[in-house]
Amino acid sequence: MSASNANTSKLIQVEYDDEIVRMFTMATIIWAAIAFLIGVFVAFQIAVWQLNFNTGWLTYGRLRPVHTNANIFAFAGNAIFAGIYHSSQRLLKTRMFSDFLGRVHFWGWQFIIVLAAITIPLGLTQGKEYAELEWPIDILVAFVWVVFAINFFGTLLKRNEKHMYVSIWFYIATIITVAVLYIINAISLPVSFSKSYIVFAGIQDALVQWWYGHNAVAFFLTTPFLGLMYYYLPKAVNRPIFSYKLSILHFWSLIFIYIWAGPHHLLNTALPPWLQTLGVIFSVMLWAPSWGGMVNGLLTLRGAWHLLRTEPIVKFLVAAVTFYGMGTFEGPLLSVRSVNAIGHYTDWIVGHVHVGTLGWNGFLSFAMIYYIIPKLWKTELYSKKLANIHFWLGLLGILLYYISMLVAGITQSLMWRALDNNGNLVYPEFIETVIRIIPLFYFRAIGGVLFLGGFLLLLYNIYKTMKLSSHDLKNETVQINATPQTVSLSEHGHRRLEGMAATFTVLALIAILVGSIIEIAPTLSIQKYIKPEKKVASFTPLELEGRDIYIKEGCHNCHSQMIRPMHSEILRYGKASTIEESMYDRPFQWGSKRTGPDLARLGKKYPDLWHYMHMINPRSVIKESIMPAYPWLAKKRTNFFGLRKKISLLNNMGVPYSEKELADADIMAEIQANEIAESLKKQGVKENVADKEIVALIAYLQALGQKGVQ
Amino acid sequence: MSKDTAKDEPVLGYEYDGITEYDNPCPAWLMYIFYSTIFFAVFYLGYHFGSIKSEKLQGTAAVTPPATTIQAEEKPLEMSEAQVTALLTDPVALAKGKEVYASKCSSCHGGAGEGLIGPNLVDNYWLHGSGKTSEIANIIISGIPNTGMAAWRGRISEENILQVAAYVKFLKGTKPENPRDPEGKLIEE
Repeated sequence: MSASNANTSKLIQVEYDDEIVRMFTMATIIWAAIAFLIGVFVAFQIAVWQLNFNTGWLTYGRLRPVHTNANIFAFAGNAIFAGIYHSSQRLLKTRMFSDFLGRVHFWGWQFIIVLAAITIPLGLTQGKEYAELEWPIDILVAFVWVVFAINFFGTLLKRNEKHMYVSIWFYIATIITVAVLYIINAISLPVSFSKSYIVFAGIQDALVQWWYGHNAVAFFLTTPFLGLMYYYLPKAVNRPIFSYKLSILHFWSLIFIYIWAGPHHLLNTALPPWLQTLGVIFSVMLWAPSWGGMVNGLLTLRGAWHLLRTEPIVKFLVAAVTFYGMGTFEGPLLSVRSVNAIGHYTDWIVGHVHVGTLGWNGFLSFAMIYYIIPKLWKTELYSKKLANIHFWLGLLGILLYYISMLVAGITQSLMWRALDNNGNLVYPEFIETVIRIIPLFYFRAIGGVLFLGGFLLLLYNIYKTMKLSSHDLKNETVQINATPQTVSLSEHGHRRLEGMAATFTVLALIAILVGSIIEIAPTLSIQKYIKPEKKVASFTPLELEGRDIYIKEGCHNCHSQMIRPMHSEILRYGKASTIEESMYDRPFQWGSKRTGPDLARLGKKYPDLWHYMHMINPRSVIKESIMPAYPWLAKKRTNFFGLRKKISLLNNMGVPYSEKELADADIMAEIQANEIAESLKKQGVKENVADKEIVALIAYLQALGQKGVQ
Repeated sequence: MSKDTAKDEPVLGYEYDGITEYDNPCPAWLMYIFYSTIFFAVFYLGYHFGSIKSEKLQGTAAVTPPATTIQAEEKPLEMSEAQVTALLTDPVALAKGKEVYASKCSSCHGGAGEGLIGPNLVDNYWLHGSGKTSEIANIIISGIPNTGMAAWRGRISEENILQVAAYVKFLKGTKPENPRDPEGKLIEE
């Protein structure tokens, strides 16, 4: 468009690509059903260990990441795409840039989900939370995301609306930041097609992982959903957005501050204190910018509150935004070091996350689904009453879930910390603190059942609604006034920026890169934080293989390896963990949840036979244990030969190995395995298990905390 | 709230798919929260970096367990053999010892002392010490390094340790099923 007709607008006809929105909406609903179902199942697994069925791919350690990935990437992911494809076309007054890229995006994403659903239960995992997918799938994710980005920014460039509405800002921030986060966090070197080692080690990996993990919450579960909220909430209540100024302020402050807050997942650990301090202050400063979204949403409802009584969509939106407010208040609170000392590693964090995912992401997506389906299937919703029941069931489910986890978390944490008058632990046996909260695990699972039950009503309601619709679904075609994109000099400040998509995107990129670089760059030279006199030995080849089995079985989902410098932890587990002790760990194992005890100094605490019996059946040594049994470890053979490649790769990445270890990794591993098997035999194990995985795992467990100062 | 400042005047000339925006200012109370958190951040930053201690900036500050715990670890239990032997005839003490044994010891030494992961406690063979009750009590309290026998100091009270030691002594000579083979040296009493 030329500058000469800058102030004129012309009437043109635009046909939206609604088919792609219908596809993503259907995918959202289908994956949600699966993701919620797995969620309920893993919740019951924690309460009832028998539900692990002594079967590898059905154990909690493997299914928990299936649950998280399914909810984040399959359910929330498809919901985001449905909403972005639906609202962007309308906000930008144009069809998507490319129908073909849209289909590549759709089918590519569903293919990734299927691959994830197959590989994660098989134990093919990088062992990093919400980033479990192995490297070939990571490449696929990056590719599909780039396809999406091209399609979105292409649409942005051919828009017929000069200014970008606030939803679009949030979409821009989402797309660029997720790309940066995902790619950097996944950088790894492959050993084989199904196994790789992350390039970052120890604190580097801890920091990068939680920079990613925290901002996956920020830029996958928050910013895109805020964008959706800014479209669907005013649409549903037909009211103007409360404050344009607040939109600007909270958008920029949110994306700038959010990216810094990752280290709050590592408070009171061995992470250098300056990073912990940054994590605390940026998390606290995040409170108001987050609430900006809630406030702008809720105040937009002024004058339309009566709709809350009659419109289930409004109910879902209000509850979603309120849960967002609750979660974003609790987040900064949990980022205060002393509060974090109580909450970290407990179920409180699990509860906190579910306020966000079930309440904010779940309910907002349900509102969007109830809004989009009748619109795009050209009919009315089959039953408002069912949608209302869905709302109340879901709400009750979330509250039951959250309250039970909050109580469980605080109860257990206080038991971990309780000291008697002599300075001894009141509950020295970890299992005592588990037994106490098992009833709450049942309440949590029941909360999940209610939430799932509500969702089944949605399924039925949507099915009936689609039945009502005619089979010939046409794309929506509208007459629009195309406004030219040329920069007008009469505009100032932010308004002008809203007309400049490329500049806007670059500024958003800068906003998220500042915090990222300042926090991550210094730790890339890890040597600065390693005291030479405190360096530790690397794992032997067999121990390394055991470590890979540990990660494959998902042990890190329930066990941390980070003794925090707190009196009660030192009494319970031994002296505080140091940076040096995890300097070769790929991925790091500091963990995020202690369903079982910390294992940082487990080595030599029990005899080999204890571990053997514990793995075959945990109840044989700890009667009330809720840990799954791992009998297959005594049957599956260890892949000794593969160790040569692993050891030489790790050596190239800076882990010190001797010439002998490099040349004969497999032979050395077999020798060590024979020694352990021999000792097991002496103690009464009848089978020869030298070449079985259980021996490698025992070697690793016995090495934990034993690598000492070299 | 900020009803007085929210005049609800629309931003004119802009609408997106029917959505318009008001030109209201940010609510004052929210801005105060924002300013307060920034103030807190500056203060907290100053608090942590202002009082420069190199240890604070580099690596974790060392935390030592309190002195009482350290002292306790070095001190063996003081008791006379007669004092613990007396417990053998005290049914209350034996009952308590049995209870503690069942919860803490049986997973390795078997429910009836027959031995499982650890040695049996019923025969006349001893790996450590000569089977005196006071020796048993001290093994329980200090553990045997690198054998898996944990030090139970702090996890079982001293009173209960004596009771368990008495109960272990009481088990000696019983004949449980499937005992582990004898280990250590034979000590006849």
